[in-house]
Amino acid sequence: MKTHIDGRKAAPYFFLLPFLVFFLIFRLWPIVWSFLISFFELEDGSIASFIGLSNYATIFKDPTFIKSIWNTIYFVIVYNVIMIFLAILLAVFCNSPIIGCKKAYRAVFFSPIAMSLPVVAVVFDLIFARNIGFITSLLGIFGVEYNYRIFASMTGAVWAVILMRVWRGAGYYCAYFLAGLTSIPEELYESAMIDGANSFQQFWKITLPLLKPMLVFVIIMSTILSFQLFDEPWILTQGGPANSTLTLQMYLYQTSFLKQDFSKGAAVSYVMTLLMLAASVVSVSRQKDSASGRR
Amino acid sequence: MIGTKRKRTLSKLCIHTILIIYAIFTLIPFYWMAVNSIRPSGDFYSRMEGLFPDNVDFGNYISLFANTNFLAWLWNSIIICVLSTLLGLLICSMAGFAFGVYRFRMKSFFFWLVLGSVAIPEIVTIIPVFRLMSDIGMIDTYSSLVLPYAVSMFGIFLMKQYIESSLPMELLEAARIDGIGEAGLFVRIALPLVKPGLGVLGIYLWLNAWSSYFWPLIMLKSQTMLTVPLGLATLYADPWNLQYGVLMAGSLISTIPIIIIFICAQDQFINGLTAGSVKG
Repeated sequence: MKTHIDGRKAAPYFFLLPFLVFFLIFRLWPIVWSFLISFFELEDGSIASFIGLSNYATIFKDPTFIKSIWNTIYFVIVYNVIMIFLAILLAVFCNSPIIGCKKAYRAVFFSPIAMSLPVVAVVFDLIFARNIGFITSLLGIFGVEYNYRIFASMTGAVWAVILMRVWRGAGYYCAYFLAGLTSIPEELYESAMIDGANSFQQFWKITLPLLKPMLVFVIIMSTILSFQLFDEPWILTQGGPANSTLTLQMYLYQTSFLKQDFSKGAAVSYVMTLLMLAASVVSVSRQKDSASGRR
Repeated sequence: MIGTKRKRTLSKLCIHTILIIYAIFTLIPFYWMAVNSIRPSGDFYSRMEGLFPDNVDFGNYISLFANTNFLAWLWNSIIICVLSTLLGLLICSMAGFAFGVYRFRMKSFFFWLVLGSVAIPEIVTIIPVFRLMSDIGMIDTYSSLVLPYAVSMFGIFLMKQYIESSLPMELLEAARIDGIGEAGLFVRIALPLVKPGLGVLGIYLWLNAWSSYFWPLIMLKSQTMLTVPLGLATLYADPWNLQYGVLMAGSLISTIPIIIIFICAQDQFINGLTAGSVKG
């Protein structure tokens, strides 16, 4: 019987096997390999010579790359501040005990996630379009003429992309905040009301502190996702006008797949990774600071 | 007392007003997409249109299927979504079962591996995976889209949680005594019990595969291999031939399946998604 493998002992490894195989091929090895090639020069796709930090130095000397970093950081900050503020506001209103149809509102607010990002891009293009756009038709009712070419303007294009993302994201994260809100016990508000606290005080002293774990989770998730902004600006503006909507992921795509410079592309991807991690750490630690400062 | 009651009605009214305004804002793009898909394409550039359609015209839908490769794109998207979802469900539920049920050597190491790799975003893997795919001649195939995204860390967490919370260990022990093997425990006892979790993860995986744009853009080359989002983007990118009506018809068709899924299972989906985030 010794030759017989104990089924119970081998079972967990058997169940983990598919995960491990895919994990090794499509995550672990690529993570290591792209880190390595970011320090090498490639010739015909194979590693030729070690060049240290040269790839990093080259991309940081490229003003287009610096521009794409600032564009991305600007977008991430503005989008997240607006979106999270709106999501919390909507969640608090939806969760208010005096209104009845919380789930119906949540369903409507959540629905934009059903549209894929390329579809969001073309639909919003048609909303902003002259002559045939929604804004033209809406303003037409009041006799106002709309002639603004939003994607030809540097600030207009950026804010249009922010608006699209807020439209799609606020309702989605509102569902997360609603889940966080329902876990706050009702008695806290009741006793606060007896103590004479008004709605704003209740929000600052009870809701926000207790929502903090969910807030941290949403900030990290949404920061990492929004750092990878690509679909809408790539489809609508290809980074223009004058690189005003050029994002890091677009720079990465251009370097790696249009110019086929894989080692520089790998360097760009690691710079992006560091920025994302840094942004998450900063925003989370600021959350913690403000939380402890208030107490 | 009447004063507080009036105040209550007033604030109720205020809240409803704000929420309804935001709901309208949310629905405008859906409305505009639908209206423009049934507007005759002919008079698009000629005159300003009103907010409401004058008459219903399905010409855009006919032209979408007759003059573009939309049917092929739809077919590609469905195949890719079915394969991604099935493979993802299989791998995640197996791994979740291993983490949720067994104690074994290196368990914490493997779990740390899952946790740690979440911190490193997917973008660092695209170049090596692209090179791998082109080395083995998989560019422009379904496999190139399905295989790299089969492992979902979120999916493994989710399945581990569902298995830990809904699968009593006593039940497994009893089944073992009845002579059911370990594979039988997984297929016949664990999987039926975590069906809600499989549903949530299935929708999540389908949604990801259905709306993905960046990776297919890198992987797919030929016109007939494109997925729906990529195909619609190429329709948009053709400035000589851009017909918004046709584009909106395609957009609507690509959005409807997800809307139907949401109408059927939105509550379970949202609860499943958000429950994972509170604990994890």
